[in-house]
Amino acid sequence: MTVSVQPQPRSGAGAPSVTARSAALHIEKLTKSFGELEVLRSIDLDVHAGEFLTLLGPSGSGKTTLLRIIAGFESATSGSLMLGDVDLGSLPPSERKLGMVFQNYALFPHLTVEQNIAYGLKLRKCRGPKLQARVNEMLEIVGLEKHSRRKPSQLSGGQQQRVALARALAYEPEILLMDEPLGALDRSLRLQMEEEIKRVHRQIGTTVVYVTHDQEEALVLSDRVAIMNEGQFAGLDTPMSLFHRPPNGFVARFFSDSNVLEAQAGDGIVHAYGQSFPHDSPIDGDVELAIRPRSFVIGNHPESGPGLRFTGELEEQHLLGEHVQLHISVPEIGRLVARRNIGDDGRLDVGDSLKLFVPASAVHVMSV
Amino acid sequence: MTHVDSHPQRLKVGRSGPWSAALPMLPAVFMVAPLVIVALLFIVYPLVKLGIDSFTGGSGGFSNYSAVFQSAAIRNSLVSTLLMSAVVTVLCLLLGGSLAWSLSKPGNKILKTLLWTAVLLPFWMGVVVKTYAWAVLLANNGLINSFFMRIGLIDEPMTLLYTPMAVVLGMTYTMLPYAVLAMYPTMAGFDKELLNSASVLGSSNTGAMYRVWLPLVRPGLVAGGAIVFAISIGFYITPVLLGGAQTPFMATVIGDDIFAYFNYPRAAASSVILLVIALTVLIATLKTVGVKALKGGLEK
Amino acid sequence: MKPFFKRRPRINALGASAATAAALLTVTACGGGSGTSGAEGETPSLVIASWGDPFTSATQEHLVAPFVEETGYDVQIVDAPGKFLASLESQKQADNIEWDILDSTSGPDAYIAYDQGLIERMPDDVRDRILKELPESAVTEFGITWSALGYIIACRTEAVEKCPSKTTEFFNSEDFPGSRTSIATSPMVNLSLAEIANGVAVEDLATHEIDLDRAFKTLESIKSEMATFWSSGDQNMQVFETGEADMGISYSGRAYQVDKQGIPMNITWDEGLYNPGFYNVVKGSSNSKEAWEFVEWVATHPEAQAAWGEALGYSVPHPEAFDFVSAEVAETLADFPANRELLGLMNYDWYVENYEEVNTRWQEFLRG
Repeated sequence: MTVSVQPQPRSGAGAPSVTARSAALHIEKLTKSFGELEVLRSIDLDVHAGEFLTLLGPSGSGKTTLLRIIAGFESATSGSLMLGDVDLGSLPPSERKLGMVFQNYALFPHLTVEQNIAYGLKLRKCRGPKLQARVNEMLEIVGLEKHSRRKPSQLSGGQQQRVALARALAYEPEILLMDEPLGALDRSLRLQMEEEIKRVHRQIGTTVVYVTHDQEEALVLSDRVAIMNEGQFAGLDTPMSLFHRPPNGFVARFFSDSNVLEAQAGDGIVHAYGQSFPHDSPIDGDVELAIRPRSFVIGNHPESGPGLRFTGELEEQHLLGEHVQLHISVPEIGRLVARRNIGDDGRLDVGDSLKLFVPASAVHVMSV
Repeated sequence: MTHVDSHPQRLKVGRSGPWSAALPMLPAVFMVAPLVIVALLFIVYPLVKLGIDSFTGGSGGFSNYSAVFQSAAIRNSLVSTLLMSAVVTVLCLLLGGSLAWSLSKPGNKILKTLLWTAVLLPFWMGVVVKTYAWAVLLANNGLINSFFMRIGLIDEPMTLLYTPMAVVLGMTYTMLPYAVLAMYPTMAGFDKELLNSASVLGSSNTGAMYRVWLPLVRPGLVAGGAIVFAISIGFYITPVLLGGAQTPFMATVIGDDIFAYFNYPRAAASSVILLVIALTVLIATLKTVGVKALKGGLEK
Repeated sequence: MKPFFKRRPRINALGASAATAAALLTVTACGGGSGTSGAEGETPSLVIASWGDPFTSATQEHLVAPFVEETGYDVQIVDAPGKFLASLESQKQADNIEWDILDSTSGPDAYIAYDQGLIERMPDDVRDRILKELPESAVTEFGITWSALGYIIACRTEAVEKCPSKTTEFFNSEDFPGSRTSIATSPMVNLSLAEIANGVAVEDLATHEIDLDRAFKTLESIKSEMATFWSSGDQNMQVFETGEADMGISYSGRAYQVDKQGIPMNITWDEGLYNPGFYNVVKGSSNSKEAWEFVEWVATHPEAQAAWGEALGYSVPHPEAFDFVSAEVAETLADFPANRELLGLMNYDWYVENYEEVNTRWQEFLRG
């Protein structure tokens, strides 16, 4: 399947600045307040053409608001929003050449699957055999050829989601916006749809801005993840970087489920809770340490080597399928979360006293 | 004296079996009977008698119906009634539609309460009172004329009362609550996100309303229109009070036939004609939009 | 004066018979059945059908109250303005006579009612006694004249440049421009006045056979000036009060009321109509004897008559009544000699013969 490049009339701008149906989104100093309430604080963001960028954050972080501003349903209080070299700020949603997949799909109930997909095409003066060909193409891409004459109410949730996707991409928008599209699906369907979306993205190559609160989706789908907290970016990087080398405590906790400890660093040495170990982080002064639950070694191993050692009481054990999550209460620190495989030896009971060791290499130092 | 059984006895707790909400036949019949009897006696019987009278009274057969169409007064009346009712229906759909739509969108609670009050208040006023209020408003020395003369826009009072316009105004005012209530459920149930969706896909605001909103609220509109039309063609008080004795609405000529000319058979024929028209409209609506939409409007 | 109509039953497509029943209920709301006979020592009760306030209160105060004091009968008044004939027909059809006495039946209606057997013939003995007090012209086979009124031309002096001084001028809308009104419920009044305008002399009117084509043509000539046709005494007044009509054919009494209430009216009796009302006893009344007692009582009490006439401005038959009436009020009465000689009488016999055609053509004229 090829992506056909059609010249599109642009409002305002001269010659198109990108050829493939993907454009770069440039957001500068964007703020949004509802009266006294500041929802977005000075957002700066460059979304590269063709990239899959996820806006990830808890509810209230501003991610949906940001998406709606990009879409045009809300207007920013200040700042600029450019798509390629077109200033989107003054344009209504209908002229922004976007595609959007909504959380509840927003399929037109009175139209068939075919007609839904054709909607955006018809508005762009695509008619007759050309229209039909494109619609069929999209149906094929999302695997719904047999359901073209059905109405949305006759489809399952997953199928509806695919129609929404096909409809949004049919007319080759320059950016695809997705607002928590998988929220209403059950787990196995969600995993399936994650695959679909990834595949479609690879096939078509549109720029995607994806909003979710689910860190797993972000990990699977994204080229980059922007983690949002209280109206600002707490982190913006590839998923792996954010996971292994979180920039701050919030990202460490939210994205990689890490334990976060207070410490001091100076001259290549980190001091925490009366212990110290060498570290090559350039940061000095007050720091935070991120330790992923997997990094702990549990038990009476006489591990020597630089790192941190704790003794605590096992408060809770949670069986999570292949592994066990342990909540250990350590004096002065509070609660540490560790994880080990089910097969690991040694039976643990609640109330047991445990020894924990984490090697220095597994400790990530972050500035405060 | 107790005796010991070889097998323990089953506890009998009345009728065994799960409790069911469905009524057995006999109690159900008794419960519904009064309603059915009332309906038969006071609705079905008079209507049937009316139909019979229209065919047996006077010279019998279709003579009464041809009398209806031969009288220029009654012919004009029928046409005026249908035309004006149609105008009222259109006005109610337009005004009521925008009211219902505004009420169904999220917004300022106080404003919406005020709007609801304004829509529903006429409901609770007697039709004579509110129609007479219009008469007072539209009279030559009434509020409207006085206002325009006071601000110098006109020298002479405009003839507003005893015109077809006055009748249409009064009827629209009376029927507006019906229209709003009939259309509101469909509009409230409309997913507003669909409009956003259409917008992103490239639709202008009007385009989205036309291609997405209209088809989906159409059942409510049709139901509302049918209800307004069916009720309007039977109006009596408003046409008389606001249009004067010479305003030809069907109910007025039927009244004449009864009270002035004692021509009951012709009156019966006219009534049957109106009834058939109203029924046709309602049944056609039922077929197009289904029972649910119509019920939604009438239930309020 | 209460300015609203008695509530009319709503006629809709769901049954004229139901409507008739409803009409009966409203008009006989206070009546509740023809009076009971005094057979078992019960007080006889009478029901009088009247025209609503101020008529009803005047009748109550000046005639009914003293009669009740004298006789101890129970007398009720119900309002049915303009509906006497139709209601009588219904009552007859339903075989349930609810009324005993008709108050001030309009001339043409009384003749029709007698012709149709709806009202009783006056018993000879009653007639003899009454003739001792009232002149012959005031006594007919079926009742005494009562509340004689004039149909006159009333005109708001402040609304037009010149008011018509007689009927012929009223029908000349070129020289006498202005919005007009007339009575909706009496074709005879309209046709008779039209014939006067066509040249029929006032004194010949009583025996004149109306030329329907000519009369209707005259009526058509001013139809476009008609703001509306009034169908009750209240509306007669209201049309002038709200300014809808500048001039019109009006009840004399009502026109004077409007003038009294502050809107200066020019009232001309010239070429008007004298319309006697009648006290009738309903055929089939179960208290025929007591009903004629009431009629006789009214006929023979000039002071009561005068008080009633003074209150309403309608004429009463007893010659001595004029002695008790103030000079001002006397001028406004139809029987006042100066007025009476200007007025013509309608040809009731002709009407009885032709009333079907007259009514049909009137309906066509009004609404065709």
